[in-house]
Amino acid sequence: MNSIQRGDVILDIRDLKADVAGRNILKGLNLTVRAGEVHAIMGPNGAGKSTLSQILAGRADYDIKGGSATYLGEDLLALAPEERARRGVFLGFQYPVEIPGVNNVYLLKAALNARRRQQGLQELDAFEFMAIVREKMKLMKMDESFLKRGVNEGFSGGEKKRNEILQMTVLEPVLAVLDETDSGLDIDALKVVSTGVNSLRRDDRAVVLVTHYQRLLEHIVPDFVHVLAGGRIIRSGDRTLALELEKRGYDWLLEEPTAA
Amino acid sequence: MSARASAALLRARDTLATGVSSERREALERLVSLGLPTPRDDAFRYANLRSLERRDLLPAAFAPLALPEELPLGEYRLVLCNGQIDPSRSHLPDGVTMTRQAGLVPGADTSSEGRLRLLNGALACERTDITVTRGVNARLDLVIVGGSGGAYPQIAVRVEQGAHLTLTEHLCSDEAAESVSSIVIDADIAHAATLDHTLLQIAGARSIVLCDVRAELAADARYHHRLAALGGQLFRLDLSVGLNGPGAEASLAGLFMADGTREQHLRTVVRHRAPNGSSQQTYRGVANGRGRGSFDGKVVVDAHANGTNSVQSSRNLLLGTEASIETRPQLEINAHAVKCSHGATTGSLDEKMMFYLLSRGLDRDTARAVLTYAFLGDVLTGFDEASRAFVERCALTRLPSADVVREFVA
Repeated sequence: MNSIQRGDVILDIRDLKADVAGRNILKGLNLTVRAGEVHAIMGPNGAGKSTLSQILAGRADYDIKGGSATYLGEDLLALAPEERARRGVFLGFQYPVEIPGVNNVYLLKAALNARRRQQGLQELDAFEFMAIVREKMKLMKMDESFLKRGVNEGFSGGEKKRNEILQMTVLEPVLAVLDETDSGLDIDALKVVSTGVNSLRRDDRAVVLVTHYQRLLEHIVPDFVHVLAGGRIIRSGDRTLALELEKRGYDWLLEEPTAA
Repeated sequence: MSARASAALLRARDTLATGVSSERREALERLVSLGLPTPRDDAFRYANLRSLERRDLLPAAFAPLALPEELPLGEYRLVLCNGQIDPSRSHLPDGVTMTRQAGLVPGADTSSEGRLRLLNGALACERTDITVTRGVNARLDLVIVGGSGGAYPQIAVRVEQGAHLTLTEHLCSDEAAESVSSIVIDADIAHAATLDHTLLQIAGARSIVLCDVRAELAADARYHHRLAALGGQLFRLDLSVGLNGPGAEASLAGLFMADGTREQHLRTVVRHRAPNGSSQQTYRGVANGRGRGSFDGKVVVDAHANGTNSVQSSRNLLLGTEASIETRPQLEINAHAVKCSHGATTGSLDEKMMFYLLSRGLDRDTARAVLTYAFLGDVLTGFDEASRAFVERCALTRLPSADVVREFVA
């Protein structure tokens, strides 16, 4: 893979239209994400924020009705979910699923090695892998018991989110899409999660934060803020837009004629 | 009394050796007129025995059959070939005795299970009685190997007061052998005695294995049954447990895998006949391809069996659109102060879990195998160490990406 330079287009979504269970959710969404950038996507409930995240990760139960999503020059929508992951797309789930009986850390090792194979790198042995995991666990303030448990098995809401970010920091994706990672977190957990996300920021990577609230953006300062409503990005701006949204809510935007 | 069912029996009757006792001859005649169980019999609604029809039911002569490699065998064992003890390969531990006698014909029980017992009784060459002396703690492997033709082992196990027997039963046959086994095991567990009974069914792909286990528990006795039904063409287990004394405890658990065209059928009947007994049942089934399986589990609590605690869980996983698993949990409660629950589910792999694993870069086959294996996790942990490693290995060979999957297990 050619090295990615700051400013290169990582994700380019053009006029994306998608249905869920026969309902039209995305209605012509445009978004360009470049290397080095953090984008926040905000919007009222039911705007299509989670749909966008799930589509980017490749969930099958969405019907793409038009438009395109290009990832590093490739047609993202044509790739299977596992191929997207191996190429460096990571989805931090809003509701990470519990998978009893499947070891949390081994899943992470398999995920990392799948990614490394794709990159033409050697797989890590258990020792090298554990060194990385322990370092990242420290960053995420997670204790040793996480190593032995099943995937998200018996984790609290906050632990699940931390586990998502742990996975992200180990996998070092090119494009991280974090779906409401801040929901259900207390302020301490929010700080820890933010530290994890900030540690990922680099010139050759990008982050898309999907969030309902402004408070996450105090810790992870975005370069761009977009408002997603009615299946489209209706307003884009810098972080001051998020502050304005917090003060005024979404209604004033919804009442205005659509801005470009 | 199906005409079809009788064809194999008629063939067996007409060719039965002249030396066979008149009692066994009569038993076979009786069975010919009663017929083998069919799906019209409630207890056999899921397990169709019609594949017996093309088989030669006559007991095969004793032969020193080879044991499959890698069986998790301990130091002491009883080896039965074609239903008869192989003395040269059988060694008992101290405190365990054995007697051999001619096979017994059961009394007049015309129920469907009774008729299968009659098949065993009519054709059994010998019966083996095993006794574990009072207070003794022993381990024993029971290796039952079948070749082509019929095998009708009859085993009675008596665990005397306070004794503890760990009995691991290996049901095996050559992969290509057209073998038919009808196995009867009667366990009598005395006061405060324990029988840990593991049944590993790893018969060859053309084997029909019918296994009837009855365990009777005295006060404070314990019976633990662990089942791994992994092989065979058609396997049927009838497991009947009677908690006859106060404080008796039965824990039954297991898994079956019905891949290809395999059929795995379990039927359990647990009877609480005395107060303060407890029974737990945990079964997991997986069917793939055109495999079929069933779990038919009944718990009966008698009127004076107050303080009974009974839990039953049957969860099943269908991996193919042509696979099927039937499950029927039944509770019959005649006492007042009891705690009984049961749950049964049959479904396919959880789509959310699948997507999660795919989104982390696992390929589809591996993700499926990992989730299937994880599904079996809570019953796998119930096997003792030696059996567990063996069962895990056997279960894994039936899944894709076995080497990768093993490491995922939490």
